[in-house]
Amino acid sequence: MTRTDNYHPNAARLALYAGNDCGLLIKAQLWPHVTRCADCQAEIASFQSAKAGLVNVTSELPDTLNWDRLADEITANIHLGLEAGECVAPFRQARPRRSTLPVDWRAATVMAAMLLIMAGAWFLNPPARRAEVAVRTAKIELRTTSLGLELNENGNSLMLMHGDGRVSAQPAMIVSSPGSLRARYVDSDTGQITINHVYSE
Amino acid sequence: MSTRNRAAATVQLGILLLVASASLTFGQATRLDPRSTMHITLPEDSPVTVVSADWGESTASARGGAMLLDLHTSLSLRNSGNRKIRSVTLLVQAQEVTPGGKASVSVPSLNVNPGENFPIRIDLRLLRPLQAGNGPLVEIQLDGVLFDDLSFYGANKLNCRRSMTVWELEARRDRQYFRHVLASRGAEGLRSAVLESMNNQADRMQMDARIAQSGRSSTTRSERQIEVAFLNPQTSPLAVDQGMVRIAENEARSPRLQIRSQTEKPVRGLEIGWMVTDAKGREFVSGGVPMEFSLQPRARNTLVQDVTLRFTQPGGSAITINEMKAYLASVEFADGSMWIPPHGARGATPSPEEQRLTELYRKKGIDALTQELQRFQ
Repeated sequence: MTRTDNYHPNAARLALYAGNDCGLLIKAQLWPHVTRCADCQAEIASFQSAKAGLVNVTSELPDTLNWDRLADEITANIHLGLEAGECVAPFRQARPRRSTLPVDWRAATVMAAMLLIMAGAWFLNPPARRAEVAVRTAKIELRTTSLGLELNENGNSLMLMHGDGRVSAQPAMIVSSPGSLRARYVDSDTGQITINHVYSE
Repeated sequence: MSTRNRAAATVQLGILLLVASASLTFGQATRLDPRSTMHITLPEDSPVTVVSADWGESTASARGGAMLLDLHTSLSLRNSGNRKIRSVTLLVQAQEVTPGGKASVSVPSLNVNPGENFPIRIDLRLLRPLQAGNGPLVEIQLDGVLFDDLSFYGANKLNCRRSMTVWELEARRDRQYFRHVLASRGAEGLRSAVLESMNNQADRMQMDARIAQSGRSSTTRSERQIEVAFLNPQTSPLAVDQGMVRIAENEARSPRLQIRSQTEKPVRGLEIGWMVTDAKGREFVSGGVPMEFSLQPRARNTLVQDVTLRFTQPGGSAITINEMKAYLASVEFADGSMWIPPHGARGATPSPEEQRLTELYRKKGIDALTQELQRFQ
């Protein structure tokens, strides 16, 4: 069995196996082969020795390292970070506190402006005047009674009577048209035909 | 006096005081000087002038929180012009009581020569709040005078010129009709014609319908479209080829008439009245409204009224419309002349003059009527 054999695990898997970094399932798959294959065992051994060598190399500090200077640099970096944080912090921390104040003033300003506009519109008053005319027009009523034609507006009334209020011998003839009522009767005193007319428009 | 008698006397006194205070509050009429409440205005160049005004029994009485004013006046006017007066219309306004409404009193069928006096009665009843202004409550103005040559004088604020011209034409037509009957059939024939007219007037009063108009019409599920029949006299200058209207209960919506001119004169206005038949077959008649409508000689045009007409009986109950007919009440030509339907035309309301002449017959007999017909010749 050689390294080119399809049954050999690839190098990445063997590296993981060597470092005990692969999962249990992969380990279980590779273990029967590795225990029997000398090549793979050699490969694993080479990975393990390389890892051990790397650990040794990185664990040794350089000879030129100046611990005091390194400590100063670290301290300076920490201070720099804190100062930089303080520079930024007022915006971050004050944002919710300071932002409420201007927003309230803006809202108050908008409300005040709206109130001013509404008050101005109320004083200028065109809508109220229109409503008054509409109500007044709608409340005009024309009706006939036994005495005459009545024009009623908001409870006040004007009645054109058929004569002087006495029951006339001949009842009045009523002609209704859209927006008006007309009553014709012959005046008992003068003998004249009289036409009373009330209009709502 | 015993305690019992004293109690009875106290109760009687209380009742008396109650009755006295009620009579002061309700119905105690006081004489009213109508000169302070009624103001008559005539233009300086008016062809009529006020000779006198009999204020009669005008009274004011309190009715709860309101004041009831009965104003009766008989004005004596003089024809101060040089033409014979046929008709007068006075505009009556009560701005403090009913500022949105107007009223008028017209007297047609007059025959007043220059320099002659003639009376006009105005009988008014006003109901207004107790607190009111000090100015005159009622303003009376001259709105129009029609002369025998059909010329007109006046402000014409109520479009009375048209109405008065129609009344005068109708009066001439009806006097002519009765004179023709008298000439052809004698006094008995005239009596029959007058009795027939009185029957027609009585029938017309039973057919009285109230009509109200509202703005643009809208479609509802219950409505249906029906054809409008047109009552067309032979002499009519206009004919209607087709008429349609949408009906829903007592409402007639957007009546549409295809009108054809049958005359050589251009038309500028017309007045169409309506007759409706309810489900029981009863007919009701309403008046029309003059409308501007231009139509060239022998031309056609469609008259569309985008309105809703609502029909009710005088008591207020709705008239469920089953059929609808239109009749031509008058036509106004571009030259100012007018057409009216012939005497007795179906749908048309008997004229004021016909009403006056029949009442004259009813009160004074056939001789008085004969004399009256001859007086206008």
